[in-house]
Amino acid sequence: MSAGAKDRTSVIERSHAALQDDFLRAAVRFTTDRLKDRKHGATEELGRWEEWRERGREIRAHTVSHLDYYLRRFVDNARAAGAEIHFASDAQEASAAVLGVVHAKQAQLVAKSKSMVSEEIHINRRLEEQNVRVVETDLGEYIIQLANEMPSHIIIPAIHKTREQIKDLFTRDGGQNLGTDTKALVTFARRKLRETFLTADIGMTGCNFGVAESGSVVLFTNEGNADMVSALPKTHIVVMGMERVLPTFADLEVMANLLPRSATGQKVITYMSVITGPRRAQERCGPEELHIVILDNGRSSQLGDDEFRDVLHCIRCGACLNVCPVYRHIGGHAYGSVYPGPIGAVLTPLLLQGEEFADLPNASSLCGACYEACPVKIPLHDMLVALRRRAAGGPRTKRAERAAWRGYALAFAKPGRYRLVTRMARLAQTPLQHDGYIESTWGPLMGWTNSRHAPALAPESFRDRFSRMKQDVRTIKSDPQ
Amino acid sequence: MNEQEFFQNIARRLGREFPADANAAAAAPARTSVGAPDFWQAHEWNHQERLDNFAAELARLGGSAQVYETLSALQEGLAALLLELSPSLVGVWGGEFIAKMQLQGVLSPCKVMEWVEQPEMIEQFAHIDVGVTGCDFAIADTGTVVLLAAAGQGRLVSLLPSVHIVVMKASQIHTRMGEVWRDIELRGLDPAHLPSTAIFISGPSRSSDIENDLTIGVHGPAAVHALIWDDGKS
Amino acid sequence: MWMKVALFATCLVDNFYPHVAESMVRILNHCGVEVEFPEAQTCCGQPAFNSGYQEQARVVGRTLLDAFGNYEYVVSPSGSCTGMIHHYYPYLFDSNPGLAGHARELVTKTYEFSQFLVNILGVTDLGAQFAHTVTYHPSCHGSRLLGVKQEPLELLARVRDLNLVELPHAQDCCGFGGAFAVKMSEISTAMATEKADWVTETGAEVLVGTDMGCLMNIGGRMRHMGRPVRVMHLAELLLEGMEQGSGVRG
Repeated sequence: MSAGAKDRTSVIERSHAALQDDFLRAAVRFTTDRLKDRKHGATEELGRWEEWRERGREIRAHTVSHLDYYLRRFVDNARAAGAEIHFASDAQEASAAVLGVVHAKQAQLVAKSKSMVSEEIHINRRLEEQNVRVVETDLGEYIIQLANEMPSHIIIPAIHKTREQIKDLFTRDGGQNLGTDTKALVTFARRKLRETFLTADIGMTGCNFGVAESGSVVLFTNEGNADMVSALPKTHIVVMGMERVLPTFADLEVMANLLPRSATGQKVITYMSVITGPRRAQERCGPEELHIVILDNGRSSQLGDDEFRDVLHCIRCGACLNVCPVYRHIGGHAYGSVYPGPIGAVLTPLLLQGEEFADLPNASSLCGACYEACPVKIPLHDMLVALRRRAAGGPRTKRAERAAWRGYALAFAKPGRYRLVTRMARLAQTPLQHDGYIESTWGPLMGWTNSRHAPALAPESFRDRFSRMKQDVRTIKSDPQ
Repeated sequence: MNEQEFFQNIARRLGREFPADANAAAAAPARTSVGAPDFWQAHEWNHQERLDNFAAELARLGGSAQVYETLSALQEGLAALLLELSPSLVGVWGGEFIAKMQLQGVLSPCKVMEWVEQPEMIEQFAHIDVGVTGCDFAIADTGTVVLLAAAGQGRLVSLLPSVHIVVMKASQIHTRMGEVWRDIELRGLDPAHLPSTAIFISGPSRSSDIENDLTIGVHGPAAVHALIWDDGKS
Repeated sequence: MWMKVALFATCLVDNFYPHVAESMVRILNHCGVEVEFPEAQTCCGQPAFNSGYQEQARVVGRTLLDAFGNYEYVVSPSGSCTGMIHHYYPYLFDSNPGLAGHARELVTKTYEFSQFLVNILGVTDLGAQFAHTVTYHPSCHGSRLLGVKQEPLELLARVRDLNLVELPHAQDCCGFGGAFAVKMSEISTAMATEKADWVTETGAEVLVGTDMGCLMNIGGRMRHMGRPVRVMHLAELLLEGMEQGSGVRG
């Protein structure tokens, strides 16, 4: 999960690099602004967005709080439809389940459609270690795979790549005399990946939603690649997070309205495939076998944690990334894990213990834009505060920080002490201030003063001034109507 | 991890001693609301509105819809479209569709291949220009056609070619997605009897993965034409 | 109409921007409201709370429960500090049965300044006149946490001769975020720079807001970049306008 963070850098160091990259920032800003505007248009057009959003939240909350029931229904029904189910408590078990099928089928080539959960278990690396070729077929993922990188956005994995860079990557992959226009690049990818679809032994997808009442796996794509990947090879492997379930098809209608609008501002996804078991005897296409790997990988610990259970409501739409001002400036890779942006800043430290993720919850101004954008109303900003609370005073916090907050509590808990301390500060600042501003660029506040003028304390506080203020309260006759 | 432990762990995390028994009717959790907001579930257009909205929405997605008063007009329309496209090979999905819509005559000038059985057909359909299918349902709200993997229907015919032509009837168009589910449910939700796949197609294949520049025809068709026979008020 | 309210000045305004609180007092007086300043108040505790130090936030936040227990209304110049009370106090004091009720009561009677004027007093036209080009930055906590969106704009719309120009991407955070500005200085600065650029693009002479934290950040950044803009709290702008204009109407 931590390809970008293997060097154990902190989010500060990683974002420093990103902030020097003008193209990255411009590209991310351009795309996220567009997605944000489109989302706004699409939700306005739908109308009564808040009702839809509340319904989305209710459905997810209900399902997650009865996950034992709905997942059981899903599993039983999927089996009745002919699917084979595998259970994996962590990434390693999930990889083992996938590799088991791959070996049994003596597969040489696996075609994949975009899936965050497969990134989470690093299945591509595992397969390549076994000399099995894996090809990503989502256009953005394909680009990222050629560049040997991680996605930097949940929905637009190659958001940070220019068409020049893409042309070079495609040329290395066999493209000849490619131009940089989108049509030429897409035509190359279509031709190249068509071979993959036709020759792959196994197709592998994630799962946007599982429908409990029928045991169906539901996939959303705009390109049509998930349908190709699931239908053309003889074997289809689905890797799904255990929380992906919805009770009924009627609930899927809500998600089909919320997800594309929130993700890209589309009214509707181009392809929605509802897969219930493998091909039936009388049918004429589809895979012969369907395997579903159901993954826990830390989800059950969130399930048992009242403060973070709601994070399991997430439908992976990426809307929180598109509105996040921090994401917009530092891009996805600075988050150091497969889940970037506000959702990543919450999920990653819950899932991974590494030092390099410890600071992620601090990389937010708590502006709340993520919550406002979330189609299922996950209070991400509250969760970031809760994560900070769990870290506060712990071994990873600086001694000076702990001392500062102790001092704050001591000085601000009693009005008398507060008055004394602020008076002392007023005296202490005298040599540092000029024209109402503090001019020092050193000391604990240099993170501020390096780039911003800091105001000096006013010569007299309001509380000191107030006692001398004379109030002239105007008497207004209330209007008798 | 074995299945029992997996569920036991979930139950424990939810504060229950044992996992809920999905077979016991009493175990079904009570719900105050299911599916879309009530106003949306009550939303229903009349025949003409459904037809008009379907056509407008599909056009908005970059597809096209043409409505014909009679079946023979539709047949002429399809003939004209095929003439214009002049494909070297036309793929059609199987079953009774051709006979039902009486398309044999229209298709006869073209070289036609019917989808019989995977995997034999994959190679032959891989580079086909035009695919002609019917559909099982359509959705006016979103300009969507719904294809089921029912007996005899090679739904990949809708996905592999560069151009997808859907021949359909106006009476197949529902107002919103929820009604399609209701119809599928009426046939029984028993998983063993559901089609292995229901695919909801809304316009041509698209991507914005290269510098957020929208292109169509990435993996699926670059054009989707719906030819609709207006088979009367329903 | 005669009314008495308690002023919750916030530690930032108390110490750095006393004239903002003073402007509020003058305007409220003008509307027939007498203002008291209970000295037991210090700070809402948000800086510690948002940094994860909730115990420290609790002991400091308690000063507000002590200070405002006996008042019918509490009015504050900050959407962020008012938002802190509304959004987090019930949770923060939940575990203390003696304080939980007080905390919930404080939520019901605490208002941000523009919210109080428009929704409680029903005043939008203060008879102010302010012949300048102005742009408005909505604070994230004021608009999202507290839900104050229209009130400041309604007040500005009634100021004569004021030319209000829309701030592009106004809803985007300015990068303040309390300790975030110091801890994640570089990211915060990038956000402040972007905000500053949009302010500059509007060509406004005055940047107005309802939270001195944001204004201190944007104003401090613009001054550092060598393009200072006049930064004013809404109360300051209204008072200055009232002195120019003719006083309360309607």
